[in-house]
Amino acid sequence: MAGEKKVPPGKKEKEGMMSNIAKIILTYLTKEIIEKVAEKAPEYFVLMKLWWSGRTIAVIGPTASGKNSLFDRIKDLPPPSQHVQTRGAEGVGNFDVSWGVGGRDKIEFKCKRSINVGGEIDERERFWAQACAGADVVFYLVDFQKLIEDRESSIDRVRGDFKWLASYLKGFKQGVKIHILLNKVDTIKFSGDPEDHRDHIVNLVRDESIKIQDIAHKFLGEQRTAIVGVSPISMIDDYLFRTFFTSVLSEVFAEGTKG
Amino acid sequence: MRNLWLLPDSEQSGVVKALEGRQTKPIHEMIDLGTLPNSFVLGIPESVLRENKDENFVYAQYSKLNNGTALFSCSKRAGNDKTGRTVVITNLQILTCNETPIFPPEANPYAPPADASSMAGFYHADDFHSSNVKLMLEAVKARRFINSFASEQMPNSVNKPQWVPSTKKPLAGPWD
Repeated sequence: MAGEKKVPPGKKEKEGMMSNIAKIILTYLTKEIIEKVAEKAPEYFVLMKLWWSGRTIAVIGPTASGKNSLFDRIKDLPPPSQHVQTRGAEGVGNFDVSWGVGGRDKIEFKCKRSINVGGEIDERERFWAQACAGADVVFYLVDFQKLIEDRESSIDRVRGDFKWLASYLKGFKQGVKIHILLNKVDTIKFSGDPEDHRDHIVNLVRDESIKIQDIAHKFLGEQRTAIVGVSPISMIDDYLFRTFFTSVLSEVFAEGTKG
Repeated sequence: MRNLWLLPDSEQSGVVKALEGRQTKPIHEMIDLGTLPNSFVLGIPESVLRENKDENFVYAQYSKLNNGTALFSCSKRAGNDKTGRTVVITNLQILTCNETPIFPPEANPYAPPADASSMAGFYHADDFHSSNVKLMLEAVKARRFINSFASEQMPNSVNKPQWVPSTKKPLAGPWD
């Protein structure tokens, strides 16, 4: 992340007030509604752009939960021709993200010093702390399909990961935010009106989202304020990715600027 | 010497299982991961794997530990997991100070058939595919004050070994 930013007097309070209002509005909202909000409150998106600029992102999660795909998505890279198991810690390099929200406005932020890591338990024990050490935002990915098909082992793994996070969180950057992404929601069957697709997914993942968030809160205890929330996401469905990722950016920003 | 085989996680269980003798257990229960240097990867770094697409490609590492023991590993592709991701098999040798690495590694007779076939694959690695491993093992003998070695250049690795080959090997010919 870039060095400490100088915040003009009163700006922090303003950010806090704006984000508290917007937090209520934006949770689980559609991209279309967010765009309408942007028209009414363009200042919100200016502040969001400022907040995201220069952030370091860490992406962690179990094996094949979509860590590489998320990096590729936000770097706007085409899907790789060959998927491989990630082992060891590799630099992702600095990259710029330009994310369109609010019609004419774009959030442009620079990701610095991000590290890609594997998802197996031995990789978690060896490299996740290194990947998360300088991160402002940690995305923790859960494979929704696996959660449905192999619930017991998936929940065990999530518990293990949050137990790990509880032990290491004190060593992370102060104020770090953790957002949980339920990936692969595109596997949920849907045949209705495309405009209802998002709501259909949100309704279906609600119980699982609450369950995962409860686990996170239970293990993190007093550190639970680091958790932003749980969002569905899909790395392979363009519409779903754009819809949910825009919401994720807003939610993390809103939580990150909370008083 | 301890001779462990880290088996490919073909079912995406999220746990790398290790076979030592007749016993199979998760690797994190079989060895103390805290003793491994960060530059020592249990497998093949993603960028190295993407750079070397050949089926018979072999990647090796060697690290000296503070307690007088040393680690040698060699890894190669072992097919795809259930969603088509490339997975690897790794032989890990934990050596006392007088022992030297064995390459190609000794197969484990108790391995399941699919893994036994992957283990045998190290014997199919010809001179071209094992040349960097041999180069690294010569460096281990010659460079006594260097602690960590890898058989490939690793520009993307966050935790770099102290020694890697200085030049990249030529690309494989069309017969490979």
